[in-house]
Amino acid sequence: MKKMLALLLATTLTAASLAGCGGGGETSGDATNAATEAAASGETAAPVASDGSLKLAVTTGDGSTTDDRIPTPWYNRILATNLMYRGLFLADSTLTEVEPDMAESYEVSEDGLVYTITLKDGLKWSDGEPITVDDVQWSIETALEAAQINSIYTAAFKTISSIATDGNTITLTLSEPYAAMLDVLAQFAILPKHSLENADPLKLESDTFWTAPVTSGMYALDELNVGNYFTLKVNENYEGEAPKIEKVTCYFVSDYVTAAQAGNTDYVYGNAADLVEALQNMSNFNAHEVDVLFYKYFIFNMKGIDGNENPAMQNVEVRKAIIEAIDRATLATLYPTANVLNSGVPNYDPAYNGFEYTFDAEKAKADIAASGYDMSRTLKICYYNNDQTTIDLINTVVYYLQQAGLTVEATLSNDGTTDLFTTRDYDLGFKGKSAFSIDEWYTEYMSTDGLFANIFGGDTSFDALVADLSKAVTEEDRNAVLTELQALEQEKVYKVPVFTVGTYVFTSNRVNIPEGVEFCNPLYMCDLDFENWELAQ
Amino acid sequence: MLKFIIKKLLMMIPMLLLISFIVYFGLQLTGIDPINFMVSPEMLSANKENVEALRESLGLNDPLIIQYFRWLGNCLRGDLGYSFDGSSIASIIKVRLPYTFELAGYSLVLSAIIGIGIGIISAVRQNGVIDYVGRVLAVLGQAVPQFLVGIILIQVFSIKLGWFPSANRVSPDATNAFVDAFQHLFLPVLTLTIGMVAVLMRYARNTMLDVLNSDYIKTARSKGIPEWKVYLKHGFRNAMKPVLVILVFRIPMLVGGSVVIESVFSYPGIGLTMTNAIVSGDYPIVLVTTLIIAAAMLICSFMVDVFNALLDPRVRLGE
Amino acid sequence: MSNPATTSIKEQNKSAASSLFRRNVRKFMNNKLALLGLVVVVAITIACVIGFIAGVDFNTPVLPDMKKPPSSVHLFGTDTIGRDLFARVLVGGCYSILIGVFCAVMSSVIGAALGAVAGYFGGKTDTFLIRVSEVFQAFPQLVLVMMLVAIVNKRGLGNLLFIFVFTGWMTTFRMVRNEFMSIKGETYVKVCEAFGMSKNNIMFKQILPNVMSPIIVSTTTNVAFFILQEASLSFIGLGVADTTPTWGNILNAAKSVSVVTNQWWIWLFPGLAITLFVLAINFLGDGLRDVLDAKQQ
Repeated sequence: MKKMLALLLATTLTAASLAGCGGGGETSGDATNAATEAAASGETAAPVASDGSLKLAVTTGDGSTTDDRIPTPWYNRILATNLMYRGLFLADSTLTEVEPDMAESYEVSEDGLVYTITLKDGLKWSDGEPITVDDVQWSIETALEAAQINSIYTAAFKTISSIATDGNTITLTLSEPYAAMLDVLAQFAILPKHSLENADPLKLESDTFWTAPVTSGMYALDELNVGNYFTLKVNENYEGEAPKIEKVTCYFVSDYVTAAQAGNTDYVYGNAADLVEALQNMSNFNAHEVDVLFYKYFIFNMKGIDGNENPAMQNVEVRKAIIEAIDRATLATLYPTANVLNSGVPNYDPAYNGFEYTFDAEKAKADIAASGYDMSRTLKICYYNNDQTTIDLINTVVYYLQQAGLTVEATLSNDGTTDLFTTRDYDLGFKGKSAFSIDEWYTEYMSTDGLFANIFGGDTSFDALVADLSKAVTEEDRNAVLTELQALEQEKVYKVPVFTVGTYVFTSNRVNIPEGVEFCNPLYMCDLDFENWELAQ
Repeated sequence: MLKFIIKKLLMMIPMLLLISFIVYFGLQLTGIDPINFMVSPEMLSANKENVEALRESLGLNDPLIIQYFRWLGNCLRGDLGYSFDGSSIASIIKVRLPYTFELAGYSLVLSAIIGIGIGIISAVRQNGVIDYVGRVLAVLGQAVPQFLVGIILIQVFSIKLGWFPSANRVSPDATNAFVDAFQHLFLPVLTLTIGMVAVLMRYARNTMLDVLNSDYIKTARSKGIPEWKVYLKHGFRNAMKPVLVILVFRIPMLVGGSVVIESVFSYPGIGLTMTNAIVSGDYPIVLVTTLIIAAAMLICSFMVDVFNALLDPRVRLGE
Repeated sequence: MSNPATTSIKEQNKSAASSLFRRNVRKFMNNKLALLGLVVVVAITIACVIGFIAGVDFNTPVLPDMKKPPSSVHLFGTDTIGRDLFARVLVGGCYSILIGVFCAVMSSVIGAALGAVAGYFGGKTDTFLIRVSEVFQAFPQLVLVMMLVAIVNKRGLGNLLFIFVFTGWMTTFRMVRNEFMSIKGETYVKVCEAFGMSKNNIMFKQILPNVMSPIIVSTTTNVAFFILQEASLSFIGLGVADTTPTWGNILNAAKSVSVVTNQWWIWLFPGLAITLFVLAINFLGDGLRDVLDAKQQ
């Protein structure tokens, strides 16, 4: 027995001493950094390793990103890929004022139909190949065929009827004016034709290219460690001012808050209450509130273009009564900053028409009963985000609707946005949309919209007005069209906005951001003066 | 004996086939269209011909049974296919599986040492201090949900104290691979171990008690053999046989338990891959990971059978 | 078959059993840990059931009151949308205990019945059932739950009950089968067979009672296992929908790091409830084993 005890003791000791060694080795190596950090943060512990690299976190839990390659810049533009890919133009934080980036100069014809863009001389990809107008042309044409791509690109590029190149100049001819074309081009990352032309556009985002991408921006990929991280090094072929930060590390994480608290990232963004609350409580992070149009909205599942309809939701009175039963102002308190709105136009905008959806539980109950809705059927809601705030919101909505006498069931959809029309099993969807502009809210109503045509049954009543909106150049014209659009959407009740939520960008005090930098919507790209970012000593 | 082993091994083939068949058809029954994952919703209706071409080229229009056998044939040729987002499943497995084995392996060894150790001491000193404290602690470890243990460990050891990283398996600027591995593995291994120790401890204690109360131990004692020799030579050896069996039987549970732990620790193993695939509905990955876990389970159960046969010849004769 | 002989044996058995029972109760009462376990299990269950029957309000969100720490109004504080946590823990307890008890009992019944058949008949039946159980055992539960959720398109309590029973009977099955294998060779079984008793009678009336102790013990500990299992599934997002509270999906709020650090009461109380209950059940199971195990008498 004693022998065995001794053996057991010995093993425990070995384990303990191993633990001691590991911990010890690490602390001695980073002692200086740890000390400064602890002093700075006051409440959170020093990160595990801290050297001359900016740390970013890329979340893998949301389905749009995987941890075995670099995410495509054609879907969301996140900071990590913004550092690697540029567009022809670069936007400011409003995303609507652009300056040439890869373009040397540009010219737009009087009628807004011809864009002539000249590329800078001597631009090079990170592999040394020249960046040419062919790359631009190939990118625009491929974007129209690509499967995973942000709809702002397809909506804009659909209007391009022909592309001509000549030397360093590319000419885009449009079939109809598209007011936001330059803004869209400022977001659009040009990709290298020579590495990707043989890739299947439908699977472009999963091409092996993204494990060793050729880049155009300030940084190029240094190392990708599947499942763990990727690191960026300065792109030697970048013609602009070289960034002061020499190395960027992006960790694949499942939770931003944990990553921030454990010192694994210097930059976090989000709008969910728990994330914002947690980061605001961290003294070593600075909050930057960002002005974005992040809509949270309900969408009624009406019918498909194939005529396959959802009979329960056809009666507009039912739809109105359901909205009446939901107290949106109270739901807004779930978010750090949320502004209730009643159309695609925010209430503070001069174009807002003043209509309000009011909350009245009693009236809603009476209205639903009066509408002839079959009270015994289950109203099905589907939602897409899995963060605690969304779950809280949905649970509250379920409660409101139950109070109106309905039987309700909410399901987290695991089938992307198509669940609504592929199964046509849900009555109500809860969605979020980080919109580029108000126009994007209204283009969803177009009968030609690939997704929503299947939900609104290809209703053509919005088409003319939305087309007018994308052409409208003056403020006055625009407001007039918007007023009409609001009246129409409030009459149809296909989509009901709940609120727009304030988005925050948080940066740690390990990084010094130059004066005057304003952050934009973190899912798009703008000029952050990144070359002058510095790591605090 | 050889014949018995071969027979058992051969039995695993039809069983794996059956499982793959059930999972394949179960996943088809869910009615989820892979096309929806490959093509953005906007493109679905805008680009109908392309989508239809893709569907045809993927063979999604063929009858199910043909699709199943095609998939099976590919698998047998070593081509595990591609996930819905286009990654090669074989390469996913190649990277992730070793990570999970690492996690499960260390947890198994650690929990075996601690669990069996405390279990035996508890049995020898039944109702003593070590017995009570050990049992309470071990059972407490089993009673707290594993993910909560993980979350608390992260909060304490990686956020408050900053001793260990909170996520991933490899860090970019590791100077020493061993130290790096140790740091990343420590917390998840600890979490899994805490959950496992209780089971092994209870089992070791109970079998040891059985053995200590058995007649031959009483006989040995009456013969005047020293107490420690009784415990070690007769008690321990006999008690370990069933404990070994339960240990082997626990391996797949470790793999299963690591599904939750990997998602708590953002640990890039097969479990995290499977959870993400399930949440996002990426069925080709679910299919392959399910089969891997099933195979692990069958192999363990095979090992249990072999152990049993080695220990107890009657089992072999019974077959 | 001679009638008087059997009755007398029966009576003898009965009186022996009742004295054995009394001795076991005494033995159990002396096992402090087990007794404590029993008290805690019964207390929590009664509290939950009373709460449920009294109709405590577990479902009304009061958003202005969200994330309030424990006070005299809200004993356990409020959750992320202002629902009373005390009420939720009570009602959640009912569902969690229901899941645990129902699944443990059902899987034991199935496992015992199949185990009896396999063990008693042996041969081909046995091999077949063993293979079936291995196939079941090899299936990751997670995948089954996901498939079922996707197929029936619903995240209900029924799914979970079904899956847990469906995938939970194998351990009991193996145990009962092994016991049957060793018992069926014993003299009294041979005697019963010689008397021409029906196979059903022998299996379930004669042999099964001898195997009851381990079954009871494993059923007890399985209750704990299933409650924990439900919590894990909730954590991955495959548990019961939130409208039906369970300890698992209340505890799910611990997924949010800000809740873990800033609102300890939201996860601590459901966490404590699970831990306490599981702990108590395990002690109870251990105690029952010590009492019922014939080998230790």
